[in-house]
Amino acid sequence: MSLELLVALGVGVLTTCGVYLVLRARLFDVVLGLTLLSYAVNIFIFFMGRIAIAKAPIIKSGVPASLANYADPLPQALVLTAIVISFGMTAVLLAIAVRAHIENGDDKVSNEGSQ
Amino acid sequence: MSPSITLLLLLLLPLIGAIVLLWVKSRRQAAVIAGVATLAGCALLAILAPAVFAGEVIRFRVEWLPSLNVAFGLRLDGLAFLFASLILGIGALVVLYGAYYLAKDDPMPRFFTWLLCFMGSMLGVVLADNLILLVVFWELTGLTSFMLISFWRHQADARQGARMALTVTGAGGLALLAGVLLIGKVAGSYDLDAVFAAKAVLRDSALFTPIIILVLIGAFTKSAQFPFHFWLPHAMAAPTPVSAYLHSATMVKAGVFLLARLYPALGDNDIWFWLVSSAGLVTLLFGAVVAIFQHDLKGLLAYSTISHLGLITLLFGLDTPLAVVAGVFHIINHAVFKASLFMAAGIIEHETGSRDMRQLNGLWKTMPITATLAMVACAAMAGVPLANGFLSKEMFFAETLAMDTHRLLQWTTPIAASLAGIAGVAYSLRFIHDVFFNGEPVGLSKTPHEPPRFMRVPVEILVVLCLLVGIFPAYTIGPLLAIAAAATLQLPSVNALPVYSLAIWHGVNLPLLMSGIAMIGGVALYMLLQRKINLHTVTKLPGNAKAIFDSLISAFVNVAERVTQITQNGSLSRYLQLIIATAIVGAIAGIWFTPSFTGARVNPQPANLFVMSIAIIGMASAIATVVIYRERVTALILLGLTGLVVTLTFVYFSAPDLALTQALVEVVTLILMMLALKFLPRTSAREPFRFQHWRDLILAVSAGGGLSWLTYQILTQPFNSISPYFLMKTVPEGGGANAVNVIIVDFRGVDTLGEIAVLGMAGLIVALVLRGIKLSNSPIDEQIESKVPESTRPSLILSVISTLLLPLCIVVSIYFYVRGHNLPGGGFIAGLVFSIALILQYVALGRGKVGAQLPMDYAKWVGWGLLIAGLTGIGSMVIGFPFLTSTYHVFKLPIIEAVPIASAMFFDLGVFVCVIGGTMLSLSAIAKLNDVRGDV
Amino acid sequence: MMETLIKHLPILPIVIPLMGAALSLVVGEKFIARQQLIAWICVLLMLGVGVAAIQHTASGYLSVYLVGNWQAPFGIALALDKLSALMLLLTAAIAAVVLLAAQRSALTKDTFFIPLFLLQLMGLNGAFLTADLFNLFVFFEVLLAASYGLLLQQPDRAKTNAATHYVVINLIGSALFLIAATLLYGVTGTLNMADLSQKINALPPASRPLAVSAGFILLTVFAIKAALLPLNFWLTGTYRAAAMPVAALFALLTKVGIVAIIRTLTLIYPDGTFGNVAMNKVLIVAAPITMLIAACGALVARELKTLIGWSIVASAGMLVTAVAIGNAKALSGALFYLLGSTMASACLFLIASAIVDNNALKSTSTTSKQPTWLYTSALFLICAMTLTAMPPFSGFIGKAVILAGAAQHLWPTWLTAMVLVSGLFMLVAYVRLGSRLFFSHDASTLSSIGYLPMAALAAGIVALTLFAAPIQRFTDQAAVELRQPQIMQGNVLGKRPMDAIKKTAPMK
Repeated sequence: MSLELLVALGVGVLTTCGVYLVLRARLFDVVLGLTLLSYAVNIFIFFMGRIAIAKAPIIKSGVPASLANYADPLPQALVLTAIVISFGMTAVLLAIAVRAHIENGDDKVSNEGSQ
Repeated sequence: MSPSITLLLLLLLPLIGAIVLLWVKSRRQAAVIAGVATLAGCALLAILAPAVFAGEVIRFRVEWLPSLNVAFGLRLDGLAFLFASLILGIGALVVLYGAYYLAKDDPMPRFFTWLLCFMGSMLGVVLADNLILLVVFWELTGLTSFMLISFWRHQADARQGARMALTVTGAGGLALLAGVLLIGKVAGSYDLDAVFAAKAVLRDSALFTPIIILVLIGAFTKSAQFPFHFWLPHAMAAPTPVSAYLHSATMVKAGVFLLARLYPALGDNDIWFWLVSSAGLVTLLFGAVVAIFQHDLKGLLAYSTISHLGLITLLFGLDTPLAVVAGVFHIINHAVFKASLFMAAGIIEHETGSRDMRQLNGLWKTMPITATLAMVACAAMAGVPLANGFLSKEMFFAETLAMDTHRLLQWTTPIAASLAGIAGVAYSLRFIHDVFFNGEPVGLSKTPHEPPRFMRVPVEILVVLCLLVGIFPAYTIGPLLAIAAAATLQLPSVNALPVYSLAIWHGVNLPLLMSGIAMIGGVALYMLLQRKINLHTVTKLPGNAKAIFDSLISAFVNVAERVTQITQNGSLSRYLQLIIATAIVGAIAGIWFTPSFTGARVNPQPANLFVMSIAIIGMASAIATVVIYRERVTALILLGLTGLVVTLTFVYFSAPDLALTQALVEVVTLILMMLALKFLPRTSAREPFRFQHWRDLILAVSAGGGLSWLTYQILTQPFNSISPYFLMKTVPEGGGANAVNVIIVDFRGVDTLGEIAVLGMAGLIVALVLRGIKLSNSPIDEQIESKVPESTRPSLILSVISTLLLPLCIVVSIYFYVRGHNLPGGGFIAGLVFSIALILQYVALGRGKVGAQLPMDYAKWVGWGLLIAGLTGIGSMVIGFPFLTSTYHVFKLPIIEAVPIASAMFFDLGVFVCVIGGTMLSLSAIAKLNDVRGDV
Repeated sequence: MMETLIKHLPILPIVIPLMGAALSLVVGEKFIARQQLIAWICVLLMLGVGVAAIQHTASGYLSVYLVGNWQAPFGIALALDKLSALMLLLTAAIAAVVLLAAQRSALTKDTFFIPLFLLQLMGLNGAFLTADLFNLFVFFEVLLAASYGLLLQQPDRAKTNAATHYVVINLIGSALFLIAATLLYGVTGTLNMADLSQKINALPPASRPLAVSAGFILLTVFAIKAALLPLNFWLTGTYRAAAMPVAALFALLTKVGIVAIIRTLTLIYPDGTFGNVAMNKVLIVAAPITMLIAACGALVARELKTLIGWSIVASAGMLVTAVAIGNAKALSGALFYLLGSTMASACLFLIASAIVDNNALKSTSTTSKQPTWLYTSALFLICAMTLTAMPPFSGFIGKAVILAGAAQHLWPTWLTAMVLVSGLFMLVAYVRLGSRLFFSHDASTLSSIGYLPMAALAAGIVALTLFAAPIQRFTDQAAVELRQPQIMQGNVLGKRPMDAIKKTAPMK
């Protein structure tokens, strides 16, 4: 089995699990789903720079600065941003979940939200 | 003052008056202002009159809509002059009349405001020099008439009538707009002259039929032509001055005005002939017949109006120059006598309190003058000689007879015309007989008497006009008719008009005979109806299209209801399903639409056992999370395991910064979730609907499958990107060996700026969402008490460790921060480490202690972080470089030998501070929640 | 001074609110007056910058700003073209009105209102300005996060539930955005939109399907923001729950989606390219149907807020229809329509907060409230006429121009019919609700907000009609500019960074 296939499979499984949980009716489960989904997305972003092993993008003197010797740093930077943002949003959603639970006496997503 | 400015002023006067009225309270003042505005308009028109009668066309033009190449253009030609004089002349009389008609408690300023608004829009319609502008004012007349019909807005029927009128005419206006746009497309311009010039082009274009149909829908809805007539009777709920003005003299004439206006461009062909004449014919007969059976005075007049509008439409449909002349003539006559009749009806209602002809009888005794006036007007309506109605009706009969082009109509039209004439005489007769004779009044609320002097003046003036025109047509109306007709036919001058004689006596001829038949037949018909079936007993009135309209509307609403329920059922998961499905379909569509070929592929690399086993653990734990997601705590642990594998992935595939960040974020997230879980149910209830789970599963699998397919596609495709630039520039120009960190703080600094703003806001939001929660009276209080997880029980060892850990963590975080530019680390990671230290404190020492430990307002931290980061950027602006331009200098430090201090590091400091602020805000908010619970 | 201002013009709309937010946080919640002062300074500065931007672009410039002095496409570039200039000014104007309204209704005293408000503005401006796809994502997140905070002010049951839907839906949207943007990077190796628009066309056939798929996912994301069918459901609930001044600010949120869609179809996948063709095929169907469905929603709306929500969806449908038609006329019409409809919906939200509920209305006396009734109804009338595209206001003008553009499209009948029919439905809807609100009882009292904010917006709408000529000349130019992606490409990629600041030699 090739690395490419393995990575693709991993992304697929994580996405599937994430989406399924996101479609649950209770907010905490949705949060779990979103976390899984963000794992999937982060890995997806990361590998848009293709596969590189033992080529950390930290320039060592003497090693020519090219994609042949270093992993693509850009997607890594993007993933960093993505991680931070999804972390923040998870916190927000958790807070809302707690609030909703206290307002509704249950963390089931109510239908009043948009009707 | 130049004529063109005068023209503009003529249009603006009523609107100015309306605006002034907004600040007027008193009834008298309101009436005076309205009257002055109208009379001033008449004066301006008089000033312009000589030029127009001399055959000039006065124009005003100023640029307005360059995109449509449409100017704000006005034109005053014969036709416009005729209508303008009707609008202003009758307008002035209506103002006088209305001042007396309105009751004490009717808000008169509002009435006259809208009346003037209507006057202005109506003037706009007739003065517009291009079709777009015409449509604009066209719709405005509809809107203002809505306001006037619903003037008594406490009456349900007034509101309904107004709504119906606006809906029908508004729809017509939209059709007209479409037609106009098509005309513009074909003719290449909306200016009337250009459209007239493009007559041939229009006729030859494939769009000609749709154009005519759309325009006619507009005209017919406005002029209440069958089958769009039904709104007019219901508009009678309006105050009578409004009916007299809008529904006899002006607004309903807008439709026939449009016919007249566009006749030169669209007229003179078979489609026009058949559509217009047939609509006119049907309406003429239908209106006349239904009018006989009305009991309501205004109802009778309304249907009579419909019938007369049909007559005018028919004349334009007959499509001969003479017919057009007759049409224009009848527009004038009808306006005059019908306005006076409405006013008379209003007087009667005003003085008797009723409009029902079954109650109103024998008013001749009590109000003889009004009666006389009404009778003369009725005579005009019936087409009795010496009244103006007679002349145009004669011309009309003559034209119906002149129809030798179309075999079929040669006979039917004259016959139909005569029948309509008979009916017309009949209902006029009923008006007179029922109201003024026919015994004594029945059950009137008031005792009838003559109206106030000045309330009758308008009627008197109009009636006198009827007679003057009727007796000396050539001297009174001749010139006006001539220029109007000439303008309608777009003739160079009045001399080019076809010959017609305005006289009462043309000798004994067929038209006269037809008039005679109409007279005798009408009288006979009315008497017959009176004798055989007493009209008063007729309750079932024909032609009630309101029911159909209402059911139509409600049907629409029901459909809309259904549609809305389907698209918006309020279930979040439904929406998410839709979004995900849309995305999947979109992705597939992308591939579907694009012919794909196989291209160059990179050959895959083998995966060793270690990697595979790790991956399998990750996937397994993810799946496990889904399987037991109801047991939330367990699910969390499995989630953490998955996160760990993700971290390892980053490690293995050479992304140390990501690995570090992921690991730290993982820790913080898990702690947050644990804390949150203390205020949420531990287990998630089992959901019903097995099939729903299957649907979700299918959706999820297809999403996952799709994404992994995309991943594989990308991974196996050759790649060249902008990244080498970063690798090359990071050391020489970025001043750091760690390309990722340099991208974060330098190459793409704005991203990071936004990112920390988001993190900061997240903290703020968590704080404000959880603020002011009273757990004491929340339903879950007890269950929480019972289930405080181990993690938050104060434990000696942990607390000792954490207190030792705190300074260490701080050192570590500073170390990470400093080395970040060259090695894995950086402000963000440092910030997280720092926060985790504080959190450990919290977890170890339990609720409330964090506040004691670090009494801080973390919102301020967020502020400072953003401020530092922002100022770093502005700093470079100060020295004339773009925002966030970085520089660096190499310093010698004791421990770490050579450290380049890049200005970007100050930016990173901002990141560091902001991250601590954001993270701690969220955590301490939940911590406080804990305290609240503890304190109660 | 002046040329320094012009030089930094594109970054100012981002820096000003950012610094304002940071300062107001540092000042702290306790000093509301100072926070408000800061906010006002920022908003007024933004107005100034907006005007300057209009002048600058109107005189033919398209100024590109290389943040951090890094050459595009490597660094992040901001592009100030006519479209973004228009949006900047509109945003600043709405912001001023909303701030005034919020201050008068004591909303500014709410937790972190001012910082969140300012960051919302930063996000909006950034989204309008950036020429980098991933940076667009970041600014989307900024404005979304801020909107979550503003929506959740004084959270009660309704707000919390609405927020739940709003947040989760947008988080899914963000995930999709990330996938789409980075997928494009994986295919083309760049993130700069101008660069993308060149590289996508140069792609080998094998990669093209992926690029188009990415485009469609991107479109899905923007369609969520623009509330396009079938992704419009979040809107009405959110707007209904939000405090009305906040909702007025939210009237801008859908427009971000619209602008993003315009960028997608004019810059990333410009007219005539393989991606564009495919996407237009879909939009030209989806957008008109959106209009119709929204009109249906409006017909059954029983509350003013809901009605406004649906009107916003309808206008989004109208705008995207115009974008899908794609010719210069339709685009120009769309921009003109956008200005009016945004102001009108914002104004209506303020009016909605002014109209007290029916029961209260019944009790109020007829005569005493007559002027109130008059002004409120007059304002309502103007806005309603704008949103139902009744002449003479900008709604009608924009619609007429769009229809004139539609006449040149392949399916003029379909488009015209859909536009007009939905227009009629909207008219009926407004007449029904309007007559219920203003006719069945004679008075309606005003909340603390007062007339000034609404009157300002109404004045803006009227101005759009009176000064249509210069405005349309600008939108016409803007449309032409949008139709020529090479202008953007040349300016963004051609912009050279300044000679770098003197740096000491790299370390050994």
